[in-house]
Amino acid sequence: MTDIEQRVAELLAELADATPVGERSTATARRPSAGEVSDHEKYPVRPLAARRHRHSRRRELIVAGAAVAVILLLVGLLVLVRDDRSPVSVSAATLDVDTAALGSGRMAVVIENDLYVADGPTGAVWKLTDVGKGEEVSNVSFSHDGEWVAFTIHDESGLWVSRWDGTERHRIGRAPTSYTWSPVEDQLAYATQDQVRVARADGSSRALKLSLAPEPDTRIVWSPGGTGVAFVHIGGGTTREALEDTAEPEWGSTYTVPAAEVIAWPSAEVLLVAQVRSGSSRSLSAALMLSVATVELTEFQLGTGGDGEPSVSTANDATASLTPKRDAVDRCDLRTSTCTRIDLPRAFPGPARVVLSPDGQRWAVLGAGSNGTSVLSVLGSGAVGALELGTTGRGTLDGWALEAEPPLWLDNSALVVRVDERSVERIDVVSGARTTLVIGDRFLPPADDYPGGTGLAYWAPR
Amino acid sequence: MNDPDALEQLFRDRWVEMVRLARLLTGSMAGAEDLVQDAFVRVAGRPDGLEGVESPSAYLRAAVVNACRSEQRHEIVVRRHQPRSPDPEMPGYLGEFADALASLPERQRSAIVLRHHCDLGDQDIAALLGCRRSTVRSLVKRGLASLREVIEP
Repeated sequence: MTDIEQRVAELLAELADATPVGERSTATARRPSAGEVSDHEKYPVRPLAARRHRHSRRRELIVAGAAVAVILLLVGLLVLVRDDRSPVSVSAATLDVDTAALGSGRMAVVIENDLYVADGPTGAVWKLTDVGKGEEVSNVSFSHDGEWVAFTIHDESGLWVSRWDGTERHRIGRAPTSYTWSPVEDQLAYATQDQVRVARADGSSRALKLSLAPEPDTRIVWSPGGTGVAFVHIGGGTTREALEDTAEPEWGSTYTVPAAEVIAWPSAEVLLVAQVRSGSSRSLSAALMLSVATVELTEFQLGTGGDGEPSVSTANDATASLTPKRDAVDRCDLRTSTCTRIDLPRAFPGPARVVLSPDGQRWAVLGAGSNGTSVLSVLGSGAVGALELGTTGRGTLDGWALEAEPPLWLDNSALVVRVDERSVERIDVVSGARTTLVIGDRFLPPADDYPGGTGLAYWAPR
Repeated sequence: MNDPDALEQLFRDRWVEMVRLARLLTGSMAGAEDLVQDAFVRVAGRPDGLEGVESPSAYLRAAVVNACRSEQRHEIVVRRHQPRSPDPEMPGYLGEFADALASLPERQRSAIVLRHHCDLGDQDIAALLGCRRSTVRSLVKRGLASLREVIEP
């Protein structure tokens, strides 16, 4: 436990002890008895409601109705104001962005809780949000053609979509648990507490007819052709687990699989699902390969007790997985179920994140170094090896590797990484050349609220 | 556990602890006791009592956390526009800490309290808040970063 954690724990205990507790802590407190608890009229859910019974019920309803109407009116006005808010053009002087280094691509980055998009070809930088303190922009990603960008605003505003220059902004959902862009169209699938919906970039959406509700925090993946989505439903309190494979016009096919998460849908025939074994922290200890047509399952080990989240390549029909450990990476062939250990050039004192290049031939591992630095190891064909990146300015990088966005591949030879709390860099993985893309005053990586949540996104024309 | 005496014992044993937890989670003394009593009533109102509940204490804590989070969603807008009145009997540094804690976003505050007051792990906190473990770590880190400004000015 660090000094600050120790001090917070002490202050919380002191604050708790300073809390005066009323007489209901004694045996005279009004508490439920065996007879009362079965009588809902005598025992309303909220005790305060009992006192309200002395008042006219009708009067209460009128007042409540009027209050709701006023609130709805105010909320509606607020939504209109927010929807009509224009994006703000930002110059490179106020936000230090090297747009030339972006090439023909676009980058979206969260700085100081707000979202900026920088365009390489035009050199334009746009600020897409203006959120208040306490809210966070996160889970940023581009549509397949780079024309639209989606993001979430916490804790209240939900999922938004706008063109990359901030125009035509729409709120898609108020409380989605996850979302994923279609690989072929300007539409995205997102999950709410009990629905999976597909929304177009113009803001219109429809609910899929499903026999099972999505699991909270579920990951949704699209089929390669964009005609189906898959997610996992886990029966509450039982061992029943099912996979939803939906493909128009027959939405709602259900397969039962012993899995907790859908990972990827790399080809029409193969869907990858995985299970987090209890007692194994932060790691998938097994995964399953599923042939959608025949529901044929093959189980194999991704790794045992890894320190970081495994990464599965979506290249080459997802034939490889990587599980980072403190001093090595387990590389597993998903078809032969064989794994090899690859030693890292620099060991990490804490957990690391690993990401495969688009062609699956190189991989980047981001973790904390030993002296308050972050270290990036790039391995594979002709890659540069270990690079020391930067520091947080606080002398420690506890948890940085897990909380910072994973390295983002621009192509097979270059990636973007948030090196510390101030800057984002472009790194050539063959030469080791580094270019600072963005410098902010001070920013933290956004909360990883949804599967794949990130404050960094990049798009380039194919 | 479908025994009224056992329920009463749970009430006696946990009342103070739960009220203090509610006070930390909501950032306010006002209504903390009512919230906890609501939680007790809901627990007691289950058709099967606590039959089949592996850990009544943990179940009760989850009910209190849910009640506090639900209440805060209603109060969040009000609190943003209302200055908090300091407790005159509270030392200055503790009042500043209480204010800083209360000003955190609800999920950050909940994660901080559950981690550093209740000593819960990532998995348990994630289950209570309905989020991923990595989110818990991020929420705690962000919350600590904000509190650091008060504790180490």
